[in-house]
Amino acid sequence: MSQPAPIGQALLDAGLVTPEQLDAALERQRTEGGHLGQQLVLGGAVSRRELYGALAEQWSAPLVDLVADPPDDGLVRRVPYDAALREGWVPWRPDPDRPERVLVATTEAPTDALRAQVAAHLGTRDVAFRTTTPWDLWKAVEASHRADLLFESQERLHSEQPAASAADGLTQWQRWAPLGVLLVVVGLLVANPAETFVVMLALANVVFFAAVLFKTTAALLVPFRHRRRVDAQWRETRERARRGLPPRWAVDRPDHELPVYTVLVPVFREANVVQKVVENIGSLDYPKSKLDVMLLMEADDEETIAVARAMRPPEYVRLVVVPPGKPQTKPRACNYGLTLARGEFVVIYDAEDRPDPDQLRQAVAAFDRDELMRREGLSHEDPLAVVQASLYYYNADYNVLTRMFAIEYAHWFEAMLPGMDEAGLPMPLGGTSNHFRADVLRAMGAWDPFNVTEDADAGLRAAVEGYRVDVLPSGTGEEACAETFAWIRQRTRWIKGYLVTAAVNTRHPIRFSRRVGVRGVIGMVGLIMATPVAFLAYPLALGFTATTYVGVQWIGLDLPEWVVGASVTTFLFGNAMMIVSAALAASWRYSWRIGGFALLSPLYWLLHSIAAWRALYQTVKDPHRWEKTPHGLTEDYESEHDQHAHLVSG
Amino acid sequence: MTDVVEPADVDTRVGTTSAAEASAPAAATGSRARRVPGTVPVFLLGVACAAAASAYTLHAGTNLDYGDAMAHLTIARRITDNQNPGLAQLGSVWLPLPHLLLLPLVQSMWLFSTGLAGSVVSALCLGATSAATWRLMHRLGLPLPAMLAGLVLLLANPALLYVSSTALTEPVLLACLTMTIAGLAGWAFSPRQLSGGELAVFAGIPAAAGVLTRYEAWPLVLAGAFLVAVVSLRRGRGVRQSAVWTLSFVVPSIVAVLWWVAYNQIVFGDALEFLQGEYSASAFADVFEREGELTTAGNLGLSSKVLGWAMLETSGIVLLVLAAVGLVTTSLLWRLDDRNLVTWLGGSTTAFLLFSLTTGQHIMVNDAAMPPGAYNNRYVLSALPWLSVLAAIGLAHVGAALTRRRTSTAVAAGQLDRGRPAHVVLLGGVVVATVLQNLYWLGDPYERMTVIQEAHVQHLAYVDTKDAARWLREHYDGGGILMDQTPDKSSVAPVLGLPIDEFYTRASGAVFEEAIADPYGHARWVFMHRSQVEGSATDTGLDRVTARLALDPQFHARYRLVYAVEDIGIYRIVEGLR
Repeated sequence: MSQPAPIGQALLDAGLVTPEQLDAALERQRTEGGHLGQQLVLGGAVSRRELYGALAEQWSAPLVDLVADPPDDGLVRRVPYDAALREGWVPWRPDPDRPERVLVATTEAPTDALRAQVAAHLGTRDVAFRTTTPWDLWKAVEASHRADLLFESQERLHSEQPAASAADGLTQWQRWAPLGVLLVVVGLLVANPAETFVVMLALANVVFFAAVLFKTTAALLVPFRHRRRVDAQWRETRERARRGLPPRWAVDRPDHELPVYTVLVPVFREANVVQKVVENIGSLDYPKSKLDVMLLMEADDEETIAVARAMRPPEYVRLVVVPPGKPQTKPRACNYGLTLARGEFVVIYDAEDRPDPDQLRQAVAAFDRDELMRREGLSHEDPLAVVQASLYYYNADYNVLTRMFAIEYAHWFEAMLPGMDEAGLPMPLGGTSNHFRADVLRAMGAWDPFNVTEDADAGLRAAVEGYRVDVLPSGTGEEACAETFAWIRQRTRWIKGYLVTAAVNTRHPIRFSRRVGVRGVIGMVGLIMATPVAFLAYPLALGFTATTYVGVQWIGLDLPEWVVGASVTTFLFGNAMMIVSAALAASWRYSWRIGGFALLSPLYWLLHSIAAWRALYQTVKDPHRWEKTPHGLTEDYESEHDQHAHLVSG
Repeated sequence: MTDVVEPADVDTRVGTTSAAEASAPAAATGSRARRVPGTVPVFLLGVACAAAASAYTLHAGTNLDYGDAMAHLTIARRITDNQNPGLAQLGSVWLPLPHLLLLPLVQSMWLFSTGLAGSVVSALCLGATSAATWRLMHRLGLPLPAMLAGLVLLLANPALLYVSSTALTEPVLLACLTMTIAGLAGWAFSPRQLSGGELAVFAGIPAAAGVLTRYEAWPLVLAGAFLVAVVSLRRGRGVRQSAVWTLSFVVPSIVAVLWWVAYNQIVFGDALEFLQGEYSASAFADVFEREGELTTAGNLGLSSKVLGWAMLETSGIVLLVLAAVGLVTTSLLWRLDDRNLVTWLGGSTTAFLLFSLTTGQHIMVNDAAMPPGAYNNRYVLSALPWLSVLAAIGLAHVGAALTRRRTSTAVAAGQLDRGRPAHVVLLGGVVVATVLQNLYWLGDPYERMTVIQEAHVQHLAYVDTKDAARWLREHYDGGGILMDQTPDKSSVAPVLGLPIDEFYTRASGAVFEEAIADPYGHARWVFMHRSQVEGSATDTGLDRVTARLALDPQFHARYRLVYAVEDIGIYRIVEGLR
């Protein structure tokens, strides 16, 4: 048997753990690192309170219950919440026997170093220690610093970088521009209907074609990216051989060197899937002692909170109730979680997500490699701030809508994003599975709680701040929305987010251009602006083309032949290009059984158009409205395709 | 066999007699359960059979025997290669989908002039027909030997193989029909309830494709809608959900019909041009009626006799007998359950043919007709997959009965287990009988197989025109060609093998009339009947070039007759007189 640590011996002596449990915990500590006590709690050998009770005796610092006996708010607020959480202590109250002495509740051993930290914050060394649990500490800090935490979650970005926040919505000129355009068009139609029609037809087709061209070009760059990466790998292998090193760089850190990883799982009215969260996160191949999972629930979502509490999650999962506030959005909840996060890295997963088991390790490896390359002078790229895993749907063939959604995602993650990466354009992130460096994320202002596509916004903001976004060769299975109206609501939110993101970034167009450069402008115009505009224009292009076809033949509409030819060609060519590239990507990702449905894309885009026009209306009337996507609609349905899905993003 | 093993739900389904049980959806499962093992190999087998048939007919020079086959190729190529190109070339008597399918292939002059463009489309269609029939039999829960027997009966049919080597529209129709029925069966028997969208994609879109291929598919849409409504209501899903599913199935067809009507209105100025225009089927039927040759009109007995004879000569006695056994056993054992409703869907086209023959909507001529002849008998090929499936069902039931030596009632209560020895023996019997049937047919195909007979008749009728076309192809040295390709036996553009935009034909639009009025300013060559066509079905069948130029001395002064065969003449302008 290994030599037990003092706390282990103490627990053994107290009969709280068995020798076998202690051995198992020691073994996990040897491989994973961390405190022995934490391993014992994670292994279920002792409860948190039993452990800290034993520690209290060892430290000669009586155990206190900060929930039953809360600390002095004024004292607690003298220590920044992040310092309290990081250092593991909180001033509890003045000593009743010696009021000049402060009683400090700690989760760490009361060493001289700890005394120094306390002194640095409180300005006194006259302290006495009490023991408390991390859970008590967290709840105490959360209660006393609620205003700070809410400021961080809701207001900080708007307060510090108002130009980057969507809180103010549209500017006056942005708000009135659509109406102005409409009035101009109506005026021109009245004055000169035929020529106005020609111009509108041409414009609609140009917009549609530009969007298609952007996406097609990005897709065409993917083979070049792959080739470049293979070449780089070969060069690296040769160089390593020349230096007598193993051919491949072993990027994986041993378990005990892995950092703490925070996993944020925002849920709202999803009591039906909340049980799945724990199962899915639990299947991650990452030391549980290094996992800091937070289930973020809104305070008014009583059903989900009740279900989550009843399921008694494992020790590494925290049930965080986000206090009421405005706007009640996913990014606000995530920001709240970020304030409490312990991890060096942070990732968001949706409740129904099924990430590849090694995804966190791959993300750590990607960051490690980036750091090494830049440290060694082998890379002159911007530092890596975030890596985006590829998203796919595990219920891809549940119905026609899920198939179309899967095709779109396959095109996005297998063609668009890698292509944009190759072109050096800023990439919008997907809604989940984006892995951040926590310090970078905090430094750039975290997620914008007022932006309904905070993911896309964060990716672009990272680029603006001088960071790089990369695509991770790892996948996350998601549940595709299987109901048409729910899909339209979800897509309305996404497109509205693009519109808002575009509006926020172009409040001062010239200033924006100077900050992001040509590629940033191309990314903004070609994707963030063109996507909603193309969907807005799609029914117009379709309608205009049909009207042209019918009108020329039927009602004697006299249009220049080149207009008719160009619009029909553009429309047919544009549709064909998108269908082919989407079909190829989806066939590669899933199978031809899914890819073949790309033929229905023109109908699918009409649904986008409905969402786009809703989004335009909401952008003007209600830009912060969050239309939640219901999850768990397809229950346990599982497409066979995800079992052999390809991963090509890397 | 490939793919994935089907769960036991199929056997359970076949073994029951209760409609409710038969249609009860199983618990939700993954997509794997929807797979039908063998689909891809059967598809490839169908394509291979058609490819072999195409190789044979191409070598024998018979794949362009049917005038309609040449006409379909020509229409497809005229969309892009014409003095008046565009989608407006579609229309008239024929529905547009087959021409649109041919469109990309006929861009190759070689595929166009050899007729291989049609062979390719038809081969793919036979593959689709085979695969869909296979999937249907599987979804009906038939044992493997019975499914193989059904496949043998389908793919060993010489008439089907012949049309599958040509550009005729029957292969496209068959593919659409069988895919529709297989899709409906998939929806009706899926372990997991398929959505309305999936029903629209897997059955509604094939049905809409059929609607745009041949009119025989139109009644299938009605029958299919009835099936969907009945099955939905039986499931107890309520009227609203039943309406959603029914609409999901029919909406693609409705859109197709509306598009076709709108197209006719836009292009021809008459939404019902395809029904009542000068080139419509009814216009031809009217002429036959005037000539007293539409003897089936108003005569159900004669119509049945003519249709029956066509089915006998096209399907063969072996298939008809086996199908009759299947019809009887399904009617007795499955009564009105979902399996039977799905099976009977296949008969909707045959019922429609009988109806339209009796009402004089179209004409069919064979040895049982008055007067006898060979015309349009290939229409009954639409019944072939249905008959094959019925035969397979009959074999399955008989095999089960023989195996268990029980009464038919007991068979109904039991299961049609796969791989039973009796089924294998019956499969062997079917193979032997099919070989014998084909040997009988091949003994005198021009007499015993009406589809082949009609091809041969048309081959003989086109000999002169094709000879003239080949002569022009060899001697053509540029310049415009004035030719009316609409009269009977004049649609030989593939044999001509020249760019169609060199021709002034009716399909060229206004320039055709200009060229007739002033041939010297337009055409170096004139290809026409030297005397007006006799016995034309309609006025549209007259040669308008002949009508204008045959007796014009100015024409004969300026053009020289350079080739003549029977009443066909090819004229070349006399250089220096222009």
